Amino acid sequence: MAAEISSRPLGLTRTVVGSACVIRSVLAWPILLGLTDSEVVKIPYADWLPAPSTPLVTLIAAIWLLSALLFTLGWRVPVVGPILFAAIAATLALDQQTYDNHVYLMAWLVLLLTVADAGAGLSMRGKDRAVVRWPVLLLMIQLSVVYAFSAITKFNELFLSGSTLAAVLRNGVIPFPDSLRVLPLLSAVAGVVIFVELFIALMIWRPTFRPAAFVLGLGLHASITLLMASTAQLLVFSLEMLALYPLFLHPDPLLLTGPADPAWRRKIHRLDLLRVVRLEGVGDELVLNHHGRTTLAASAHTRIAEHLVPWLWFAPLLRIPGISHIHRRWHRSGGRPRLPADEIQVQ
Amino acid sequence: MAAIVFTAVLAAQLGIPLSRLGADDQAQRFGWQMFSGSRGFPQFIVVTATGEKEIKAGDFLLRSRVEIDVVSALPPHLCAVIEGAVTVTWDKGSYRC
Repeated sequence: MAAEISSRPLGLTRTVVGSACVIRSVLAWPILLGLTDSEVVKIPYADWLPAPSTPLVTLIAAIWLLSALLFTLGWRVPVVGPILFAAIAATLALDQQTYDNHVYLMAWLVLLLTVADAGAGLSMRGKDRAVVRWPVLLLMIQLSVVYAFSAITKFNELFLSGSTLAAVLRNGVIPFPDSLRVLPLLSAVAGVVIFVELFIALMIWRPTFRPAAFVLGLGLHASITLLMASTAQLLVFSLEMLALYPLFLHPDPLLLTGPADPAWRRKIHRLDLLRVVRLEGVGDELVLNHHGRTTLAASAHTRIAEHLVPWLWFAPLLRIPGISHIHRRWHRSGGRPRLPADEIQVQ
Repeated sequence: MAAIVFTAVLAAQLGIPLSRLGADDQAQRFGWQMFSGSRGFPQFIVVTATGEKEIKAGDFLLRSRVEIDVVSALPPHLCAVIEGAVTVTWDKGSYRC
């Protein structure tokens, strides 16, 4: 319970969750102002709660925005975190209609990040310090809880029939083709969605399946954000969930042999926000030793990219058959893939 | 102390959504139910001394969320904001203003 770990992944999670909080605070203000419209019904949780008024909701949104900005930067997280949590909790408590799962999740994440001392890494202070592991473990559990319950509650006739998907797959950034809006197909998609959520919830804990969980998570969040309405709010939810993924990366250092080029080494250092890459030897061939396993060339490149920011969310795609083949050929030919880590080229 | 806090938070993380499972057929808050179902709102009709008026529930709600119990919340509000309302009716009931 008291084991200490690097605060860098936690700091990265705080930065992404904080950014989601900033976006959501901007969205919150017009929503909360709607509550002051006399035509709109008020559904308070308790009669003694204050009635929504323009000054009150503006104050809540302003505190939310300001504290979210400071939280993102990692400025005095033990003070700013509870203030941000209070602003989000006040929004949720103001009326039953202000509830959103992603806002409720935001409250959980801000609370746990504050308890975890998330300002200890990647913050304005500059100097990192180690953090205890147990609150980080709670954040990781939160990810599994959200995906698992989301999947379990989809085991109902309506969702499995595809009817729910037929209703929600509309008005997105990318229009869902009407020709595909047929129940047998959407029923199959519904099954895939449940499988993906359960797979991520369980398998992200297993190193062997973790890259697959990352790929499926990226696909799931990209599709819901682009294909469904309320794009901005779904983007916030996706940021919250994807922010937790780096916490699952194995903390062992990546011992790397590569080119001597100082510019290349500087780039690796700049992208290595998690501070896990150790540039040890110099050689023409990329050789990576990580967690007791040695990988070479394109495989080493993929593994390195899986630990660099922001590529860690996308690099597992390079393991997909087909993409992996193209990547290997590209690497062998001395090509320069778009991933900055492949500025790791043999000189 | 850390062990107590860890256990308490873990119990809340698991216990809250577990307690919201299968409470009834209506979607529940705090249970991580996301796009797991959809539900339409009933058609409300406000009866006044001069006639009847069909109401779209969404026009009087902040947002059309499935967790909201509109049947409990909306009829008293409609009585308050629609001048001359005498009764609010819907497919499974009515409310006298």
